[in-house]
Amino acid sequence: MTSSTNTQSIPPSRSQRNICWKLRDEYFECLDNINNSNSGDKLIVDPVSVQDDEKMQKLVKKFNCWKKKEEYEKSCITSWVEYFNKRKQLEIKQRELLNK
Amino acid sequence: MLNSVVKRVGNSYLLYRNQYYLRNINTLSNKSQNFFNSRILNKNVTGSKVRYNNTSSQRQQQTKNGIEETIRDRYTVGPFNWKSFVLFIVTGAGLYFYFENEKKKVLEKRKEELANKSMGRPKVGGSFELINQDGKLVTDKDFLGKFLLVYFGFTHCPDICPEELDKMSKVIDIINNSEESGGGKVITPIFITCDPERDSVEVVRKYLKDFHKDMVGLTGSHEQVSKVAKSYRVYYSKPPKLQPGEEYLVDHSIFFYLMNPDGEFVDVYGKNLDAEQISTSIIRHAKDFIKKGGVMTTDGKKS
Repeated sequence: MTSSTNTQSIPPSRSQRNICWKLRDEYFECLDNINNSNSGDKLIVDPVSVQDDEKMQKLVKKFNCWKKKEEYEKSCITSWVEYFNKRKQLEIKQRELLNK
Repeated sequence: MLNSVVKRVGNSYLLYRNQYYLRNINTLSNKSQNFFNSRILNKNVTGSKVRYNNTSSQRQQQTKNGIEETIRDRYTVGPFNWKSFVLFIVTGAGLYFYFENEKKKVLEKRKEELANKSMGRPKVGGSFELINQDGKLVTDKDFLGKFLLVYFGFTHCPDICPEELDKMSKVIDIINNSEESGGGKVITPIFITCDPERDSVEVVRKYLKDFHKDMVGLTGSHEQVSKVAKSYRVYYSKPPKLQPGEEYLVDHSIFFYLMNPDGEFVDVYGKNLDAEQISTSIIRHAKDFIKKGGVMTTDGKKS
């Protein structure tokens, strides 16, 4: 094992976890606000699709969520970001399905 | 059981009645009418419900038919009197309580037999050999004497594991501070990693600093961990295609396993239960364990 993988494999501490969770919640709330405000618009923003959808990215920037996104991705480890995003995407899709 | 008793009581009653009839008919055929009628008269004097107005002069004129009639009259009322009524009630009540008691005894015996049989108890848990957070090799034998609450997880777990481990700490505090435990430590929280690749002894030790001070963190080789997970019927899986050094999450079952001081599986608690519900259940199991003569230690060593 090299030293770089060693430092990488140290899990976040409780305080780091709490910061990550807090920033995640703020970012996701921001996305919820976007989806709630443009109910007439068919574009539903979710944290997974936003990664490579320019239209969504514009919307996220317009609603001042971009900075939150960056902070969140910076303070949570990548596997967590991936996991939280997927879970949130699922939640949003489920809600859309129920609202139809 | 009760039916046969009722039948038996009924039969003896019929027998008693028949004998009564026979006796009276015998007295008739013996023509000892004087005796018979005086008995009836005596009854009248004592205030019985049987009504007869025979006087000694009428007695002489009574035909056999007339007497038979009076007997029939008597039996329309039945062999009822206060003595037999009280006897009936007392016997009935006595029999009732006797059989209720017997029934209870039988039920209790059956229940005990059922509880003692290991039939139906899932084969969860078993012997293991793992390394604790101080780098010491430990086995399941080292944990005998106390209840164990076992949780499988991994230190890089995003949110479920830390939440579950916090819940576990709460449960441990509730139980060890409860009246029932007498202020002693009766339960040990155990965290077993299902990610031995990243969760070295040091990583586990640092991770557990954020949780309950009594919590034991166990890790080991792939084989050791896979063996213990299998014995607890725990599923876990790592993503299949991984670049060296790439970050990943481990998918795993989320359960608390309660083991008794003899190392036997008792119960399992899912994520849906809160700390209070789990503690209540564990305290109930602990009382049951002691009631059955189980031995618990509070200082960590079996006395």
